[in-house]
Amino acid sequence: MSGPVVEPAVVPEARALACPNCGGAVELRGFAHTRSAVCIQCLTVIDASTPELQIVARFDEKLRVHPAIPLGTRGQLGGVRWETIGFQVRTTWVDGTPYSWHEYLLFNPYQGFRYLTVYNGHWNYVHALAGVPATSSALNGRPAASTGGVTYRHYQHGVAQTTFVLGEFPWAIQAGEQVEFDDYIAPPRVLSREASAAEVNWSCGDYIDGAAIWQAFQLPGAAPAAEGFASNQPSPYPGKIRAIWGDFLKLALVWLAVLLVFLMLGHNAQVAAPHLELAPPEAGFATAVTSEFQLQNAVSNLHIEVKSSDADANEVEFALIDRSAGRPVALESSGHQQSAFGWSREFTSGRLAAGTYALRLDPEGGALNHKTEYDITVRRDVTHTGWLWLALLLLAIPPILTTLRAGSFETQRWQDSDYGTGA
Amino acid sequence: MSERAANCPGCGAPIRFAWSSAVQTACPYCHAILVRHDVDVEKVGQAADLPPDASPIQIGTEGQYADRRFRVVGRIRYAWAQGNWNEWHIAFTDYTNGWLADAQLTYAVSFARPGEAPNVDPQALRPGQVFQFEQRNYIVTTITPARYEGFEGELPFTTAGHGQMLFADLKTEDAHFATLDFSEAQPMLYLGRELAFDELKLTNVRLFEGW
Repeated sequence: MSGPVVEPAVVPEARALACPNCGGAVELRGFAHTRSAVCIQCLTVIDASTPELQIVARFDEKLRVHPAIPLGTRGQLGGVRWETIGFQVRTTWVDGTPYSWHEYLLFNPYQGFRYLTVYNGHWNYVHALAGVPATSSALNGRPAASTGGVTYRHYQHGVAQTTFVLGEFPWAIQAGEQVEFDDYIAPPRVLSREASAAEVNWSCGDYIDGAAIWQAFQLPGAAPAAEGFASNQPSPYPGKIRAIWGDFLKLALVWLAVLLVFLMLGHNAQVAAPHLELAPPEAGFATAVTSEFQLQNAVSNLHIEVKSSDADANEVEFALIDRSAGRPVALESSGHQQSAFGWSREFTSGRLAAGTYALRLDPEGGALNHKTEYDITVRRDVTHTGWLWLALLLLAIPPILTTLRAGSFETQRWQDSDYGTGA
Repeated sequence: MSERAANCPGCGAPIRFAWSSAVQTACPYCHAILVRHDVDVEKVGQAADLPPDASPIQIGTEGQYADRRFRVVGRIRYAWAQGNWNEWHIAFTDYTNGWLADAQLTYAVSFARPGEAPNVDPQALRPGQVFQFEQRNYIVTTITPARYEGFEGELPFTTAGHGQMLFADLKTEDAHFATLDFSEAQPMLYLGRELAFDELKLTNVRLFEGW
């Protein structure tokens, strides 16, 4: 008696099929999983599930597409060794314009099947989902799908047709098979729901750089550069925004230190507070001079504020008179406020030597029939921080621009979706 | 594990049971389907040769589920319109049993829940319907007519007398998995989880030429 009838512990490689159309050898890589195979010579789709090898369809030679990753190439992705065994071109039509992407079927005899999809140089590493995501229309009326604690936003609905096939598949290929798809995104991931008459399948794709694909499969040359936007392409901006606002924060701390130093260096001390009263008939036009005040030391500036609580009081021209030198000092206007209860004006001088000074007021306008009062405050060495605030504003420009660009990246991401202005 | 021996009524080969509660086994030599009585085995049919299969699992494969070790002791192979799948009968070291499904290298472990199946008419079942088991929502994903395509090793029931059967698969949001089996008058519920190959920590798997 022979030994027990069991399946071999080492599964032998599948024998190549003879193409029922051209007789050419159709190499098989998917062991007994393969149900459909395409003859690489004559593009005949063969039902490989029965020994009869029935012809299912044939693609026109004009449709032939050469996969960037040749079938039978092995590569390491996600810690698993995969072999490319199938390739298909799928097409969707938007307003009559065809958009095609490529899909590779990856196989490992233990881990099963995965997919690589590529559109305009944007790649996704795709696996079938074990669960069924919960769908809702929660986010602003746009459908959403959630699984694993992540909410994906609906991007696009469409109908996809298989327009070209090479290699082998563990399912029956039907020529021109159509599925309805819905893509939901949470970059760098995309959830896809594909529904045919027979079934609904959910898959999840992870965005992957073409360079990583070239590296994984040891492909010659360099991966073609990605063009345009992919729905689930990770935005380069979140990292940039963090970095640039981080830099801004550091600079702002330096800025704050500078501001504090300036404020500490400033004395801001009151020098004089003369009060002037002009009674009729002089009120309104007569020139008045304040009492003199002393500067014991040279000052970097004088800051003079004149207030009148009388809204009718005429505006005044001011002159700071250097009594020691006997000449007026130039003043710069640095503020002006007016309200129903009066007005105030501010003036600032440049560097001044020690000495005796007084202020001359020249009201501009006609005589007033009531007494007019002016309260004056003179302070020295006042710190002017206006330019520092301007510097802070300039420092904030680059991070603000980057933040705006990030927003425009997201706008462009959604441009091609069912919700974009370009759709 | 029990090692009670009997002899195959077909070819006389010694029949051993690795799982003490096995009801049916297939003679590994002549493929006779044997149903176990108290001490004897009765031949109730002949198993067809299993068509070539590319599952990495075989009788004797060991693995792990929820920190418990199991061993594959039997298998049912089902065929449906678009292909086939394996239900591997697994016995745990504590003598309980379960099933390790392998459908095109998608793996799920499940356990029979006697008496817990909802009373539904399989003809009224539709994809998208929701059932609740153990506070989880299970959505009907597929309804699959299938038939036995082959057997191997020890099973907890006899497969005799079944033609076309109907199965409904249900999934949750988080990879929990249920099957409603309508092959008996009373539907049977199985609850479990889909698992990645690496999570099963399988040993004594088959090898693949070229890999």
